[in-house]
Amino acid sequence: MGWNTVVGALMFNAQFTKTVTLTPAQIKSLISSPTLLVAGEANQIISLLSCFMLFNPGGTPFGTLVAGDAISPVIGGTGANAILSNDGLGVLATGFIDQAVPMGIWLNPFWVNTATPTPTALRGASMFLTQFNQSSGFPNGLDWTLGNGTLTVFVRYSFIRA
Amino acid sequence: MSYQSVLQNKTLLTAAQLKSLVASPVLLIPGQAGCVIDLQSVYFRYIHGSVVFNPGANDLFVLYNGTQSSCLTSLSMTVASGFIDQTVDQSAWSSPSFSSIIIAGTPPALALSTFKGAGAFLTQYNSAGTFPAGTDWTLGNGSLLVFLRWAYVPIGEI
Repeated sequence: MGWNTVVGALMFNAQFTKTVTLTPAQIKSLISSPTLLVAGEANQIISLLSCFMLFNPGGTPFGTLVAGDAISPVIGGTGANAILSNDGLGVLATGFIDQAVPMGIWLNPFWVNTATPTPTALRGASMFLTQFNQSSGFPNGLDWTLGNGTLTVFVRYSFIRA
Repeated sequence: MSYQSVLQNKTLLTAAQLKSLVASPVLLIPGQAGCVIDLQSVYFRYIHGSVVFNPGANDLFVLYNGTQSSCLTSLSMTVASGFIDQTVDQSAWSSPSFSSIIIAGTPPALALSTFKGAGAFLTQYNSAGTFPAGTDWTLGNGSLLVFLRWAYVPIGEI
């Protein structure tokens, strides 16, 4: 028995990085159409290790935000099996994508259960970027209707063979 | 745009540097033009001397990115009391999260211009007050080793 005891084939893979830039249309439909960040792989669960979001404003700031609106990576869908990052809070959209200058924010990358996701639901699941309202609770919220900046998401991640 | 290679360094802070962390924060990770810093691991090793340091009960080590005066993103923090006031060597890992504990609640976004290309500095402050308020320690002759692992993330010409 020791630190490096291997049980079956359950182990971490190498780290990967990816950059995804969301168009204004994608930002304005994050609830109805979450944007794919990392595609799932069969029999593996995504382990998010680092996430930086960069907002580059356009001529019209996103202006229909509601207090508590937040942006977050999510895996497992939008129901009972979904898990969000950063203690389930994501990052606040107000003070971020409603600004007129380039803004940046780091996210606490750990996953938090919003319910009781089953391994089956998470295995092979992709990671998406979504938005919701913290006050109403995930996955409730309203898509924004104004704004034309872009949002670039830098993620570092691995897969757990589970 | 993608993450660059993982880098690491080890910095030895002298007693004089430790006693002036408020007045003169120590640069641990140099900034790189057009990049932000993805901090991945932080380990502190305190090497005790014959005189312990005299931190206040709420004093914290903070590794921050950008400028101290504007309370930019706190990369990590570690309680000084119970650590560098000990008479034997001590170890402490620090969470490398960038999300600030200094600012209550969900961390706010920051204007990119305030930390893009900026380095990461070690300071200390009194967590009972508002960052970066604190008082430099006056006693102590030990030293502190800081081990860091990070990657630069090029974020383009925005």
